[in-house]
Amino acid sequence: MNMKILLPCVCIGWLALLLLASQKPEWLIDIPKTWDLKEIKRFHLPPPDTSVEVFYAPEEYYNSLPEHIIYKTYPVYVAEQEPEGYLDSIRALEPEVVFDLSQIKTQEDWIKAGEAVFHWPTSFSPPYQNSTSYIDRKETDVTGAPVTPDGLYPFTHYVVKEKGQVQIGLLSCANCHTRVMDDGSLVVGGQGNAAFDPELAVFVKLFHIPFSVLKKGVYQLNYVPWAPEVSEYIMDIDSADYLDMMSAHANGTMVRQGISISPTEDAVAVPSLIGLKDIKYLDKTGIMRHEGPGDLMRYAAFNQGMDMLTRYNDFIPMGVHDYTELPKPEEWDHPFGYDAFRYNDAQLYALAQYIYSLEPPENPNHFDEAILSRGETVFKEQGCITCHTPPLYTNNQLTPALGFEPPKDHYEKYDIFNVSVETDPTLAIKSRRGTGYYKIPSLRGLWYRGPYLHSGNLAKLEDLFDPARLQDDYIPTGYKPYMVETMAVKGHEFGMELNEEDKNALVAFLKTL
Amino acid sequence: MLIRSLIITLGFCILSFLSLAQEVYQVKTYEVKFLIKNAGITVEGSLEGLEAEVLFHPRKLANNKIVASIDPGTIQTGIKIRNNHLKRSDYFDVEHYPKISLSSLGFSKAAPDTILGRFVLTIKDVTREIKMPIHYIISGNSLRLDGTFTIDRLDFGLGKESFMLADEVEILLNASLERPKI
Repeated sequence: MNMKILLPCVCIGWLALLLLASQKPEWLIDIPKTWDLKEIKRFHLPPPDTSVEVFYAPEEYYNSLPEHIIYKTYPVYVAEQEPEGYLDSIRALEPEVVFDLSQIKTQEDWIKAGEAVFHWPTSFSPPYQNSTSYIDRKETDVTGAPVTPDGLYPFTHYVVKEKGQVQIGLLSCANCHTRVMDDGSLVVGGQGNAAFDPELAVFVKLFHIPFSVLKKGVYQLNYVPWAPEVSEYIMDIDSADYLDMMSAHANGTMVRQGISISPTEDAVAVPSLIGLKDIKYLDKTGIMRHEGPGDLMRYAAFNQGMDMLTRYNDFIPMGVHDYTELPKPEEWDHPFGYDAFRYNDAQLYALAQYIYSLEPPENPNHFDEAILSRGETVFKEQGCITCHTPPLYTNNQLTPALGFEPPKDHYEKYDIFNVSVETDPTLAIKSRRGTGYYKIPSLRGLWYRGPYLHSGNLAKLEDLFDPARLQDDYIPTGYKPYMVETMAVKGHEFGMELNEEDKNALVAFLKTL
Repeated sequence: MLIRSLIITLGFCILSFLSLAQEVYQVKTYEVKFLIKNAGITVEGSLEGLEAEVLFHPRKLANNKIVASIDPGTIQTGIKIRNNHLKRSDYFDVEHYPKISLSSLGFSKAAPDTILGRFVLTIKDVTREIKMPIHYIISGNSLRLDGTFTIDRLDFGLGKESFMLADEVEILLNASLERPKI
């Protein structure tokens, strides 16, 4: 070919390539690596006891776990409102894989794929043979689990991984982060209000599950190597205690792996995921930093099984050989039933995109402008605005728990608001999720959340400003530990001396955020 | 001659002592307040624990002296947790710096019944010179002093830059004093 023609062609070709590179299609993204130990050490805050060494499962171990194949899931109805022949109609369906990376081209595709991941269970029942739902109104009435007006029980899903076989799928993100509002509407990604713990108590009684199995689970979930008093307490729990404890967990609170069990606290409030994109620390104790989708991916990987493989000195919660060695995948024995699978990085990236896309429901609260204006002024006067700073209504900082003095280097590393609000320090100090801090939560969406405070002791916003809650004869309106009849809900003593008018104005304002 | 000189010198000394003694005042009541804007709302706070040494005469400005300290651990802003925060290391760090001190460098006449004082103010480990107009009322043995000055809290390492909390803090002092009867 003539050089006079070839040269311009080559130049145009290079220019076209450069142009393409500078206008990268939106689907062509750099997916962060989830199990990157350097990043994990950066994002994970240390335990409050500095003598504790923390080791994470090695990369080879993580990569050796099989990946989830994500199929379509199907809603669960209570038996009384299940469409006739519903389960049999599902059984007749072909399994349908709904996460297919090759089909993801746009940001909307990522979000849609992430929605499938969000609803994908990580634990499955044996094939369910019955023709009607496994759950009915009698059970939901006992446990207090909410159901939508059309009979939807939105916390679990059916899956078909093999034609002809329906399984009940548990432990998806949606399990805990789906809320049925009082009007029956659903808030996906909100502070979930399933009644899993009371349900478990019902199942334990119904199927006579041996307490030895449960006791091992309590140990795995809640043992804290640096808090011997917690271990002692755990060892003393008997079957009746366990059932009472689980039954006492109000909707919106639950036992979770890594939290503590003590006479004053054995549950934690479920967080809302809506608006999470702007939040710098994850979990009540801010145990993980959140600086982008990679961190949220890591958080999901940890909380869907991997955190039970973290070693604290010599203790691995799900370890074999007296909790000292990592289990082989076939040896996984997670108390919640997580199977030994992992999400792949693309699935977790999609999940993060979906969570970032969650929008709050339309706020039905409407108040007089004068009341809201007064409420906003009270919000400023009472100093709420300092920690709960607009527009996020959090300053995205960590506040030391009562009794915890931040080490000097923490002031450089973390975002610390250097005073305690003096709530119960158990979770922050005597739990595996403990960091010595509580995250200052965002107040956005308070109206569709609750119960409030880190362990959900208060059912209503008004209760927060009730000085009676500081007294020992107070009956917590939200979650109340089974061992106590009354208890003071201490700390966060703001707005306690407001007159009724200002209190109402403040609550009205908070309900509009 | 020597004895006469001695008597005269001694007389001057006694007179001078008496005149100085008359300028010493003791604080009977006081208020130390501060005002700062937070989110557009003015927050008022106060401090207690004043210890002061006051020598004052409206016409003998060169002899005037005010040395005072206050305890930042007594800070009150109306919100208990905010008070606790202000005592911690990022604000007053009362564990390591239990006193705020103010010491006069000199005074000049500013207006009728008002003098302008130059002081060094020490908060934590930072010392800065400030100027404070002081209005006075003398009535018999009683003296009333009112002074106001402004600081930039960041100059003294009191918190960090913030779009919520103003940098400028207005400090208002007043004291009722009495001259001991001789």
